[in-house]
Amino acid sequence: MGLQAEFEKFDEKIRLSDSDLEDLRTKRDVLLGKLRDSDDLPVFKEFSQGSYAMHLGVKPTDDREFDIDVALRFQVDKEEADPFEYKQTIYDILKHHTEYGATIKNPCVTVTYKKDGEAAYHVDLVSYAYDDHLDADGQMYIAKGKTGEDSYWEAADPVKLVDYINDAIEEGEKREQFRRVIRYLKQWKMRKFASDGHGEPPSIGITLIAADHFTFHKDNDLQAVIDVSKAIQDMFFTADNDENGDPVYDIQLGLPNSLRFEPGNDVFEKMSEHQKTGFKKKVDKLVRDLDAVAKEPDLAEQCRKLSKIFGNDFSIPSVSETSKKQVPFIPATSSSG
Amino acid sequence: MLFVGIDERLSIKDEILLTIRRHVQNGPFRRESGGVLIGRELIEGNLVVVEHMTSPMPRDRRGRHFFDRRDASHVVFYNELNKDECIYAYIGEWHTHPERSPEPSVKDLRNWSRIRGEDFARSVQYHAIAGTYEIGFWAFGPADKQVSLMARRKWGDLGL
Ligand SMILES: [Zn+2]
Repeated sequence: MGLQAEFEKFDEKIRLSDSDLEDLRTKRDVLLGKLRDSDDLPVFKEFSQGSYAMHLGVKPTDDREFDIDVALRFQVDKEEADPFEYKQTIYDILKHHTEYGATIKNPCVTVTYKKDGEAAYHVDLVSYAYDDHLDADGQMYIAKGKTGEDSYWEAADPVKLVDYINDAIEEGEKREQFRRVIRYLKQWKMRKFASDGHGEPPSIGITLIAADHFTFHKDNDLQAVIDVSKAIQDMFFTADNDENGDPVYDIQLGLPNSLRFEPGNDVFEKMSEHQKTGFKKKVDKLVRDLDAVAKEPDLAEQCRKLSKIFGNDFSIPSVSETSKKQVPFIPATSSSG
Repeated sequence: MLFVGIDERLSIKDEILLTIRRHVQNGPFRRESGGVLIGRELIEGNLVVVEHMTSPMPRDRRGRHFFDRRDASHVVFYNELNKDECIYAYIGEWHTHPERSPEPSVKDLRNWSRIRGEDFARSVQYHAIAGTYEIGFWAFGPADKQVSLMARRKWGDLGL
């Protein structure tokens, strides 16, 4: 079995499957039922967004939670709706739904569930309104803010964003490789960045760079992931020098111009320059390590290097699996001069 | 390091090269060293990975200009590697020369020819000679007396 087969085996292990989320979808449907039954909320249409909707989900590592993102498209015009009111109402309806309750976050309301006494899953409920709710294809707005004072409606295009990613690469083996490459990079990201704070780059950033720079390499996921990693590396630019004279890096990326998001948006905006510089260093190391894998002729050694990058889910074939059987021979003596 | 042999490629692990380099005769009184190179033939990719070796043992005979491998421990080590499953092949000999850029001596060629005649497992052996400045790898076989230099590298270029 060659390296490509090892990559595909790895993908099988890390990818989020329907059955992984069955439990969570049932929980989501119960939540949505409660919201629908409430007289305090207007009618909404639900819509699945986030990595799972883009077929890019990976199983969380032990220190992280499964999550599912649900968009609630309230059938209201934003001029007549308060951006905080619905979030507050959702919170009030769901705050006693689980032991962990609910939390109002800047872009959503999060409901957390535990399993075996630990937080294990969460559902993010994202609220949207329309310019004109009778025009379903018209401009949408996301409710942002944590309190009544700081809340506002921000232009967003969540449905088209999911389509943009899903249709970025032509269907078939090319699209399959594109999705695998993003899952590999998300697995790498999960292992190399702490899950707290904003030190971890947002997945949508990596996904968008991949969508714009992916090149198909038949039966060669290694080269495909190297190309995308180098494209990420190329996005960085020197912003400044720190007190030691070392470069401080920046990276900026707007959501696609063809979509109707707030102008001037930047998917990396929450990261500080220090965090972006840390991100750059990790990407540099990723590119170096992947290049070393490409130069390594021995399959088992390639897999050993890859398991250092992507974790133990990347299995290392044993030497007996990859080596030919030999007839034992060794000369008893030798005479050199 | 990686080089092309006779109808196959050879990958010599850094640890092997580092061990050989430690034995280089870079002082006026250092004796010749030597041992065997052991590797695996991969099922895919036409590649031989040289990842085990032996080094001078107490019963080997060593001088400024000779290394006679006589200690049975070399053979014992090889057999031990293949105890559970025989996947390790004898690849060839290595030894040092007290010169910058090594060339096989008449004695070396005679030795390699004898080994070629004995080896019923592989039709080509790869032997290394380590000089103070460079290391060379020679293929012996498949025809009798067919000797060819396959690779010659400066120690400083190996990135060790
Ligand atoms: Zn010699």
